Amino acid sequence: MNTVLAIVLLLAASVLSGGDESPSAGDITDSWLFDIITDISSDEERSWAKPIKSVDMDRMLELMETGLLTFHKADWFAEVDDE
Amino acid sequence: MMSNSVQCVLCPHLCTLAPGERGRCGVRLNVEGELVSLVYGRPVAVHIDPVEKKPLFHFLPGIDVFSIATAGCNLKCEFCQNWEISQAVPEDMTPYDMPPEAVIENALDFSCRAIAYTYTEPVVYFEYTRDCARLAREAGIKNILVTAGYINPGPLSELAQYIDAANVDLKAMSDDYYRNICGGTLQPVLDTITYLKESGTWVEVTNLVVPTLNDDPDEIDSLSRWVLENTGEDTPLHFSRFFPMYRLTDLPPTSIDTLRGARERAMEIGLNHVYVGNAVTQDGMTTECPECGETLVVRQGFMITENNILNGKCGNCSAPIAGVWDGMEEE
Repeated sequence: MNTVLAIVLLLAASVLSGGDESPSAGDITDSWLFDIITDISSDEERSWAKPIKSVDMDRMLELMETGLLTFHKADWFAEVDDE
Repeated sequence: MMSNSVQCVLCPHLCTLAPGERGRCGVRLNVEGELVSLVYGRPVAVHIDPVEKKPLFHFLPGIDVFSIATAGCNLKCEFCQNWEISQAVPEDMTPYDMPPEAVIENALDFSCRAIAYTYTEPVVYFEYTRDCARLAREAGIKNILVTAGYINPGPLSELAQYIDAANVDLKAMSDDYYRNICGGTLQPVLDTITYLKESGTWVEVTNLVVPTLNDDPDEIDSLSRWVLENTGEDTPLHFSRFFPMYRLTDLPPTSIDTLRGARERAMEIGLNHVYVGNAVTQDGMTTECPECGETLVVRQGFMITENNILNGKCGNCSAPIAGVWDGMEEE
């Protein structure tokens, strides 16, 4: 249910934003929307999905410097407010 | 107070990631409060395929398609036929260095009329797909998305504007199946199919028929009926043959009889173009005119051996045939 609501909000956001530019945390003006999405989805269990895992950041940086990985800024994410 | 955690809103998993964590796709990482793609411009598979291999049977038959994939997928299908790259993490792969400009250049050099984002899951390399697709559109190259459709509506609408054709994998009509076998949910996939259809993308649907898991005739009927009622009678549906792979090596390959039966049921329900994939059958690979029954396109494997569609119409009775065909755009 929460995911459905989040998706509805995302669809609304895409319509309101004009559709051409991706929202990323650096240029979101409607941060309230992503706060809502975060709130309603952060506690949802997804035992059926792949787990979220930490990486060995030193190795990732090393691979990024050699060009085998990129640290290309992604779109479609929101900063999480702990409060 | 901001915690440097981020939430990826690209797909319905909505992963919340602390710094140093990556999403369920394995390729989107929180680096000090900023989400980054680990695979932008780093495909691990680059091939030239016939469009029939995607499979797309009603989209410019016979054309060569420049086909790329990075590592990663946001699902974890136990039957995955490309699991070596889809379930891999990018640091365990040796990729090509191929920024979007190089993709377009290569596609043009090899006379490919389309680029396919395929093999793994283009949703997880969203930014790369979108940037390639945008440049391809400018260069007059078509864009093909081969996807499981597990994406949120906002990103989908951004991507869809550049996509000319899509083959969406509809794995079953059961949410339990998606959760238990694939690590996802059903409804977002259905939403993706209807959105793409309504937004003008040419859509074909593939269903991998897995023995004992989703080959029940009622399941086949339910899926066929959904395709008919939500995308129309002219949407091609491909029933694809399963081979034992990844975590389902204890199941046999799908029998040809099962695939033929699925095709017959779907056509009885009212779909005009139903095909059998990953298997050599004569009738399951042939396009017929829904009006006069004339044989229009004959395929041997991925080769076109006969094509009687003229400017998008049946060569016999001139009924329009759904799809994107050479000669149509000039009309």
